[in-house]
Amino acid sequence: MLLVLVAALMNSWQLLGYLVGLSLTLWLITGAMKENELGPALWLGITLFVFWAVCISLIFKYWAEFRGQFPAFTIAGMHPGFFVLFPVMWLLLFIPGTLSYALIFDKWILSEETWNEFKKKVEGIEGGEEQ
Amino acid sequence: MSDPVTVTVVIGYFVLTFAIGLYAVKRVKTAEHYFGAHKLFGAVVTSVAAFASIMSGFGFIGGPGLVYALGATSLWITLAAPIGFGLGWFIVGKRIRLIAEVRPIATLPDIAAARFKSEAVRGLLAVSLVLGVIAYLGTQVMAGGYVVSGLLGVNLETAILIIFGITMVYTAIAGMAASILTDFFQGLIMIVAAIGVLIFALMMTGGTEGLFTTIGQKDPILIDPLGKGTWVLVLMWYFVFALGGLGQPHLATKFYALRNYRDLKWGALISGGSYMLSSLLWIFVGYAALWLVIGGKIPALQKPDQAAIAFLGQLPVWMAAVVYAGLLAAIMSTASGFISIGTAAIVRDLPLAFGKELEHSKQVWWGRIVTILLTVFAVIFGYFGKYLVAILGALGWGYFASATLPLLAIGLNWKRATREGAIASLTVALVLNIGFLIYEKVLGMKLPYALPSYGISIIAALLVIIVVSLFTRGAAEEDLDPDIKAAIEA
Repeated sequence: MLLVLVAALMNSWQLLGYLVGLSLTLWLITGAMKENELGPALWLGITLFVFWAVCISLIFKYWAEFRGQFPAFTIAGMHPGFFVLFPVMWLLLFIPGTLSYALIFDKWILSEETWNEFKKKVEGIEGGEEQ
Repeated sequence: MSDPVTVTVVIGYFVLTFAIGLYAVKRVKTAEHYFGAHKLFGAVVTSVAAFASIMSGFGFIGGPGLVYALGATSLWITLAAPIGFGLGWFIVGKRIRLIAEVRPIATLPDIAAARFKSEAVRGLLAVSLVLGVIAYLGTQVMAGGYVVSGLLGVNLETAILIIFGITMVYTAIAGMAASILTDFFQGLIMIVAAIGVLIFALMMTGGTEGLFTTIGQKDPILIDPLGKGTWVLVLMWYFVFALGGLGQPHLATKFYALRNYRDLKWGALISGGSYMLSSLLWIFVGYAALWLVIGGKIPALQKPDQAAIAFLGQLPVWMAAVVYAGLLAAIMSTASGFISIGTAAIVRDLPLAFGKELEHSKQVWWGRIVTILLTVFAVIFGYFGKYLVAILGALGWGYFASATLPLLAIGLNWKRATREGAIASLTVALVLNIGFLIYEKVLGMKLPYALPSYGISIIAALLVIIVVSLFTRGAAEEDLDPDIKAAIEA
């Protein structure tokens, strides 16, 4: 995060672009991992970062190539860099960042087993306090 | 603008919203239900309500205005938010819901006090929330008033009384339960409005091909991925709006409103997906207004914020009326959530922070009184405050994120986070936000490269809680309450 701030204050925008992606990736991993266990968090993080890095690189590339002029080619009428930002990056990041939560919920995020263990642990604490 | 169809749709919307708000009182049996809708609703209601409360009136008016003025620059805000919902569920959703299972949680300061075993943390967070809530509501008063005044053809004062009177009454009667239930209804209207706008915009402009080619040939910068902004600005926006979402009190409060732990499962998808749909309105209304001006179909706009109104003027009256209802829904859903959060902070958290707890049976009664007083104060402040409202209005998304994000995101995922770290982080967030406010709004100075000051505040507050925690020990590791520790470890 400190690097994000330093890159922003130095106006190093390309570096900032990759650091923002890295930071979001680390947050996703932190949120998806359990006590000392990475599980699918690592793969989610890697997927998010790869999607981010590829999209940001393409956005920068097409922006620099066609800055200030009508682009040599368009996709559905859109500037290629704009098309990567919306809808490609928008939809791609949604997969590991949001959709995946429902996909891994039962097996990893909060399985019935984890829930029951939590309830048991907490009831044990309450029982202990009552004694 | 006050044609019979629009008036009918708007009045119908008000009546339905009011009825739903009143119906919610049936669910309220305890103070925790009133202040936090504690375990009252399922996945769909809560998730749509979460999206509705985050999508404010800015998304309907300010967002398209920014697209009209700057091109794709502001898209980085709206495109970041859907992933922000996912991060919210991943990073804090499960932890908050687990704590709600074992503690009578009704407010964010309740959670912070439970995690950090500190009434000082509760008090500081409550003060931060009240300040932010008043500032936010103040900015909405004139905006809401002008919209209703234009739609119903009544004067500004009457319009303010109508929109904030209705919001105040249902929020006073059923608190957060009313806020969430009406947010759900309002969220559905916003989604319908967004889909309708997308279809009409594409039909009117000849699809994306006709829309972007026409604009790009006039000014290519308006259709490139950066627009007229700077890279530092848009990338920091993406960072702040993706990560800052989970620090927004009106999102975080929804997690303890979930009836069952399994209701977490689809929440990120529903709320993030709903936001994606509604952001299409932000994008396409702005570009369609540009297309209309470039094509000579309407005169150039005096102000960018007129983009949405200019576009809606081209739609069939009934469709425009639905979108106007969506705009009112966006304003009212965010306002009612903030009124509930501010009320809870005043009635429940501030007394607790000073070692006094109102009797449980009296909390709801006081909640209703404070809801009325808070709304009346916000309306007076918004109507007469002018310069002060303009200054304090800057205390928005970034302010809430810098105050709340470190406590939730770090505190609920890192057992080593300490009470001292939380207090230091909250203090830094308050000082920096107010400091930047004076620097930018009073002194008229700017940070380099158009860097958003709230980006600095958020990062500084996050760093402070980490660094101070490394050198202190309060309410960390073995000093955590066992049930809180179990929630962090699950």
